[in-house]
Amino acid sequence: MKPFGICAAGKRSKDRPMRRPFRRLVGILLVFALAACLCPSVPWAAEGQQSIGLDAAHPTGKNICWFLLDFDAIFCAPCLAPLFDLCRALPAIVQERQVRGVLVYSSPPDKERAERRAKIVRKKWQGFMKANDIRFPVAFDDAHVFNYLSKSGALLLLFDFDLHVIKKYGFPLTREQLNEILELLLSGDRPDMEFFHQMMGLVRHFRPAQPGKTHVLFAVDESISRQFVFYEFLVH
Amino acid sequence: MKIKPAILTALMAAILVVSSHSVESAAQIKKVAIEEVLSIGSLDDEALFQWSGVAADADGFIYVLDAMDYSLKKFDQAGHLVKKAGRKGQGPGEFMAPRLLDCRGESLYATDQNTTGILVFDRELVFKKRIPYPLLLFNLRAVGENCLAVGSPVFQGPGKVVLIDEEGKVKSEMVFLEKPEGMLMDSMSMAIDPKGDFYIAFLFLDRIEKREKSGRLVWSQKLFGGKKVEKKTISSYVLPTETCYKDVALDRNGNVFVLGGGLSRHPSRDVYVLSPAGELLTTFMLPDTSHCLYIDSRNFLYSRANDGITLKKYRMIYH
Repeated sequence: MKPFGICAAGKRSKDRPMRRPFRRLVGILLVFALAACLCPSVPWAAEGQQSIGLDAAHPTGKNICWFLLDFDAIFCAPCLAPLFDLCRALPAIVQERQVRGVLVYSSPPDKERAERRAKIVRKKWQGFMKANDIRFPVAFDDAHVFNYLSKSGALLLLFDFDLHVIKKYGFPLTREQLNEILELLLSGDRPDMEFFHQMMGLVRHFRPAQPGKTHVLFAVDESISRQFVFYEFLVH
Repeated sequence: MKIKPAILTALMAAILVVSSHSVESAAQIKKVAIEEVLSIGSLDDEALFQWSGVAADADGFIYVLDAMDYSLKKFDQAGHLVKKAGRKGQGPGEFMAPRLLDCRGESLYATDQNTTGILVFDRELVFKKRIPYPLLLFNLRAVGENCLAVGSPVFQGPGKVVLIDEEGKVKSEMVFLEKPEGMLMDSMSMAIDPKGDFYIAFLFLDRIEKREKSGRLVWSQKLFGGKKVEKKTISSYVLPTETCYKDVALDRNGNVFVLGGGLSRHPSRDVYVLSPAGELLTTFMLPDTSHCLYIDSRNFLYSRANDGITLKKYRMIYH
């Protein structure tokens, strides 16, 4: 199995591809990181739990997509029209199994007000989600590690298991992009999860270098330690 | 002529009542205290998610537009949800971004930030009709028996309030800003007294005004010494980045309540109370930030809490 299209990690230059085994490891860890960060409260699979989003009972399509949404953007209906189009076009089961979201929001510095803000954001999302028939699970970026990515309001990352690339789509989406995403989500067989599960034990010991400015940053909530692990890579 | 003692007593009592009432209404407020009497919506229930507009009828029922679930909700005097109407869409009785609400008699008037016209519901939240209007609306007040005062974005030309009838036909216009500085989607908030005079609080100018129906200026007030709000150039448009005032409402005595914006000591919380003649009487502070002020016919004050999840109703106590 080819790894994802990761071009750089840590301090490596874009022109110096990583050694193949390491690339493979990073690719696997990246997917695992994604799965874990989408459900921060779920313990690691190594502790007897399965990661959300990439379990053995994966439905019809094998690819997954990941929304990064800025909480402030949800008040702008035209801005999120492509999200609603996508949700309407996807069967509920596909939304629930193959689509994930992370909601980014700003927060005041003091702890008490930050906790209140976190509750307010959750409450409002609950109303918004029901009114718009959004079925995909959302994780709340309480640590604000994704804030710098949310400038455009919304971002979609699609993990294409066939090509082993991660595709980035900025909002608003074109009709062609929307159709491409739909096709990729609805087609294909289930991904080979055995390989991912074999690698899970290594995750705790993996610490990449600081992220670069042009790279996408993934954060993993390690649930127990509350430390975040950053993974950087270039998006194709 | 002899006057019977009973009649004399009644006359004296009547004079006392009338004079004491006139003294109360004419007396200038020195201080306003607010006492919470009702709170609707909390972090733990599903009553409200992001309320935008509020209105109360003569029976004490409270109507609220909720921008997060695209609905119009009716609450009883105890704050219990009685009925909910509307959903996302552009069909009859549907909303894309519900915003302003007003109540008159048996009718509720609602606007949508993303669609033109005014949606009319009855007090049971049954959708009745859409009043056509060609522009988006950022101000709405029900006036008199068959009149609505509306304000639209200012693109070019003067800023004005347009009075329309229930069919959307223009009855008259009142110009409040001859030369606006650039494009403003939302430039002012307004209240209208029973005589039909306008009270205008400018969102991005330090200016509160009373104008007659004809547009003639009665008085103008600057609470921040004419201080200008900060502006920023975004895509060649120069746009304000903070507000002077956020909303204006009248109490039953004609006093003018203005919610302060970013220039206030406590932004979105300080309320300035002006006499009907425009004199600053006092200031008080809301417990939480609010985007609007609403005073019902029984003189209860409504404002926001928890970033729009909670609606607070206060009794106002004048000293």
